[in-house]
Amino acid sequence: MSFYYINRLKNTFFLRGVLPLLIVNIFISGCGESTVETQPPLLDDNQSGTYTGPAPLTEDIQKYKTALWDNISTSDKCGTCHTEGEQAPYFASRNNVNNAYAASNPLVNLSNPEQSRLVEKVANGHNCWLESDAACGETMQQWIKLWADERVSTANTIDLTPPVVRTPGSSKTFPADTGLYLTTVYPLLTTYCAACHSESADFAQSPFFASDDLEQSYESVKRVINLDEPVNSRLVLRLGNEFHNCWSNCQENSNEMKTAIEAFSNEIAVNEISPEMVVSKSLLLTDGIVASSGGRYESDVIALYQFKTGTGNTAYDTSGISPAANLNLSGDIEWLGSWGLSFTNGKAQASTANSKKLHNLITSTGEFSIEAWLTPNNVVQEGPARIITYSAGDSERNFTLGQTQYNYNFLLRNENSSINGEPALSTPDADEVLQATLQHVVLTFDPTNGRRLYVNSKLIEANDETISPIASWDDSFALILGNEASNNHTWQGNIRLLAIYNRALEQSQISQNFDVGVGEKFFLLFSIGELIDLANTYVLFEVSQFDNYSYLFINPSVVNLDGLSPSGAIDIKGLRIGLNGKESIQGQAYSHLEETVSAGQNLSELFPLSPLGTIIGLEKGPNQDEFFLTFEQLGEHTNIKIPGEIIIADEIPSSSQSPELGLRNFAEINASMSSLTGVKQNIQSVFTTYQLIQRQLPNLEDIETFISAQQMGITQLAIAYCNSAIEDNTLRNTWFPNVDFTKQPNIALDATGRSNLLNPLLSQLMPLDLSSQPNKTLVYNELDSLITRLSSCGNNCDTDRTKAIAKASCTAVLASAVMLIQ
Amino acid sequence: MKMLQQMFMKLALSNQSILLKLPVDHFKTLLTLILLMFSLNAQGSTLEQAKQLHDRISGVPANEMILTEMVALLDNGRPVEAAYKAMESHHFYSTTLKVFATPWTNKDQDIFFELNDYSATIIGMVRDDIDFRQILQANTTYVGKDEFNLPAYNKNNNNHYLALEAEFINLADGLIAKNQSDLNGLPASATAGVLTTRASAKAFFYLGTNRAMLRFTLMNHLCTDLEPLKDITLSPDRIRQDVSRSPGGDSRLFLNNCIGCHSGMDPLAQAFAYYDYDFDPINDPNGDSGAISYNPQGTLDSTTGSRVQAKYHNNATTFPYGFVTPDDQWQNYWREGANQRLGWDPSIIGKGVGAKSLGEELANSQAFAQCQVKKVFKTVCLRDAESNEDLVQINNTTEYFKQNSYQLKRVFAEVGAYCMGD
Repeated sequence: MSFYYINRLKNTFFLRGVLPLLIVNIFISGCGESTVETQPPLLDDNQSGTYTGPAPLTEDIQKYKTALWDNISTSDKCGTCHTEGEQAPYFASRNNVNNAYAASNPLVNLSNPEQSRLVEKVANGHNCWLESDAACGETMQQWIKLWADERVSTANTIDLTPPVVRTPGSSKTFPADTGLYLTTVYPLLTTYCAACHSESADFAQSPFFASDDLEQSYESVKRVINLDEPVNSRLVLRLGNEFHNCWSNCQENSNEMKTAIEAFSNEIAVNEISPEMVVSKSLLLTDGIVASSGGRYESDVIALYQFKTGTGNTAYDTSGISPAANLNLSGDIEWLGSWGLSFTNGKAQASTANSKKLHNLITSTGEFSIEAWLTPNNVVQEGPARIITYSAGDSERNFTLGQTQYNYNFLLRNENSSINGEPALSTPDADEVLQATLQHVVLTFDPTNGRRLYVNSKLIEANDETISPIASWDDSFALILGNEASNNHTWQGNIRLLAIYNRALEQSQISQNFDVGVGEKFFLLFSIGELIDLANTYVLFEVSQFDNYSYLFINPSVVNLDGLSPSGAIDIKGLRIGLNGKESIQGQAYSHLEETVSAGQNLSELFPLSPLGTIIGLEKGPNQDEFFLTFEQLGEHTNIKIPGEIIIADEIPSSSQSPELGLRNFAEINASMSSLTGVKQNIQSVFTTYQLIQRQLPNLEDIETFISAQQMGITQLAIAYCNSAIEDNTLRNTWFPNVDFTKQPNIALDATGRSNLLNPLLSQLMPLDLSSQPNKTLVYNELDSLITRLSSCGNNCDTDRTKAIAKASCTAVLASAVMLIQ
Repeated sequence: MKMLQQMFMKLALSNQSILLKLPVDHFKTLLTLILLMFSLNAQGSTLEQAKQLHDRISGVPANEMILTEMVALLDNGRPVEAAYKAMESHHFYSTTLKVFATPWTNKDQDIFFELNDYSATIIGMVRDDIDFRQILQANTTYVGKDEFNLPAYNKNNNNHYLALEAEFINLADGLIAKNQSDLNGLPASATAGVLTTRASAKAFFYLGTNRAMLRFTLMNHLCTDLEPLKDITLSPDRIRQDVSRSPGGDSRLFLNNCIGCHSGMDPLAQAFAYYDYDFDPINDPNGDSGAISYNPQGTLDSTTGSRVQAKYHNNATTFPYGFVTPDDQWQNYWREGANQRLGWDPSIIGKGVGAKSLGEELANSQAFAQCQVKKVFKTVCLRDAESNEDLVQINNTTEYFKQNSYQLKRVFAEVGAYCMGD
């Protein structure tokens, strides 16, 4: 815990009651931002007792009281100072709520609650009662929203104002190779920061720039190093200005870090913009106009997680509905720069006491909805893997949203279910609704329609066959994300927003929220006025951080903030997005763009250029990445791209050395046997055998793949062919005219008979004398020996044995390499 | 060699019972014959060359008369003609070409797969010396002749070809060319050779997003899968909405991998936007009774509101800002960047409408011509190119193939002569 941090705490009332407890925590954890929520947590009770002043005079004052004043007038929040006799304005007066109402009105903007003075103050750290200023701002905003109700504007108008004018300058980007980083900054981080900022630390604290894994460290450190201005790197500022866990003297430590980063940065070449390029002015993401995140339907929300904090071990419930069911993060969880949590093997859990509000508020209406923007990491996890669960363990739950491979599962305890909420309602297997990509998932329940699942605002066809009211809910369960209470059902993926309502959302409300999307969006106005001689003309992009690794650019259009129109037509061709002094290599979805802004075109309204969106890889983070646009043609300016010449590499032969000989494949074997014996392939006995052993025969001609089972198949087929040939009178008589098959072997196959059998046989199956075939004499002798052995059957030889010997001799040649090798 | 001998010995000792009533003595003789063969020196004269040439081309041993004729041709320095003599065997069509084409006709690349209109059309076109580029463009399908009394061609099943195969009908004589459009009902302009055959549709238009048709055509006829074609620098402007830009929450995967193939593949596969394979998913989940379907002029798909098949708009919410396919206009982005090495024909423009013109684009590439030669080389020489001499032969034959109307029989002849041994 740093000196700075304690100083800051002294200015908060939080310090008075909680400091001793906090200090204990600090000593346990030893890390600046790793305080763990005390179990059981402090209840968010009204710290100032019951209000005994005059009753609200109007309905709106009553609404004000319930939604805002009851929350802020407590002694742990604004009520300590902003009361009579203390610090004006007295909007937290506990003497008279009507006076507080009057004092509050100038401090709120009911149509745009996020622009309220009250929100701005706490969001900027003015006596924030939480560890996260952003969470205080969000919560305050939500209270004002609850008061304003339908007065909140849902109009999505943009008030565009000229941005700062930057000229795209030279800039540095992180090299792909980690070698330089390994020798400059990495050693400092692993020496002094690894006790917290590493996944393997006892009290692991994201970001993991001191990870044992160099690649992981490098990815994380990009967000806290400023290559262009090392002195402004978060790593340097955190030590020098914020006294965050210095290892000796903060200023010296800060300088040491700066020197290391400078050593890193000095070796990196600067990206220069070529003078031939037609470029717009440049912008940082933060130069953009923040798009209103309004427009979401949030009536009846009882818990809301937008995950904006970005650091720390708490994800705040900013629904404004007390008590805030804040989530305590444990295990392997990363914050997403685009707002959200990334679960690898961790969970985010609210205390059972605070989770109880879900029980109370949902059972009071008998219906509820869960809305989430989430990205499953894969489509193989199952269990179901617990995405969002309100449960006590593997076998007891109130509700759960889970994943089983391609399916979402909705388990709910009701009158007819098990205490484990089974049977589950699931998306159909065949539809593969769940994909490992960002999806908007909504579960609704009401006693009439039962459970319903919506994905990307589309109702999934899955009938709830056991519709019955919620029953026997247990108020001692906990709301958990990313795992089961037992830690037995890990879910891997990202959750970027979670809202729980105590009403079943309707299709239109779900569509409304789906259309609004998720995350923070900016309107970036890229100035092109100078290039087309029309001042205050811009190419407008809607830009947001897509995930930890990229930005999303959508809806490009041309606009003139003075409402002027061009006097002549402006051709726009080949628009590309530049980043930190160079065109991005990937994601140039507008490089084929060809549009013309006609003369006189009204540019006071947006002139759309393309319906497409694209993503551009993040390099240094949203606070440092500088964007600009380039054009192949913009009005009279051109910079035609000439594709680089492609050098086609010479083909290289395979390094294998194959034998010259090969096998015949299955079809060739069958055809060869037919061809050699004269037996047709469609003769039933042959055909049947072939069908049976076809896949046992070689399918590759590579002789090195030959295996014994293949020889078995070949032999069986050869037997079938030889059998058919010898049994066929015509074939047999043509083939062996001088062998008397009606006689016993010792007579039919005497010396002459053998010659009459073997010579035609070999002539038929081994025509001509080829040096690439076995020596005919050797084969003859071998067969002769075979016949001798087979003919030894005493005096009881059957005459059929003669044919059998002929078949065996035929098979011996036909199934041999004589036929097989080519 | 020693290993083989050991293997056969082991076989002789352990598997006697499998030899259907065959005496042990017989097996010993068989074994001896096999070993005799392996002990041979492969060195030989024109007779041996003729045998090898015939074996490799027709798949079966030649009879004495044919061998003698081939020897005479070889002795007269006419190896190509000798190879053509080997091609007179109907087994060249019924066996060699059947096995040659079969793996292209199914997703598993199963060499044992049944004869079908795709493989029969390849066999027929080779037999008739049709310009082989037509396999991806022509309004042609080969069927069995009427005289065989086979079940008629039916666009809903493969019975016609199953019967042709079961009867072992001589494919050198038994096939005849028909207008494909007369058989499957597609407009003539929508036919694209084997790409629009029933077998091809069943394999590559079945469910999915029709990208499989492009991928397998590349694999089968340009000898490359998508992986070697990855080019992450091309514009992603034609990548459809169904491709996640952040798979598993990590957009680096998209930017460094997915984009590499989809940027070029999606604008090409757009050529198939009006095609599908229709079947009854409930009663016929494998699509055995299905047929190719095509949305002709004037058809409106209820999902897309255009002629584009619904599958092209699958999973549109995965990335709503992706490309929404409006028609079947394809474009070859691989004419820029690293994939120029496939050798696209500069005399055609690299974009068009529908499958037929895409077939023309692919078939006129250097990669197509060379791929055919490489496949023949593998079939006849039983190996890939393993020396610079092999590569020179492949390149020379490719050039000859291109300059002489893409006749594949000639390729077999040239490569066969090259690989008939010393």
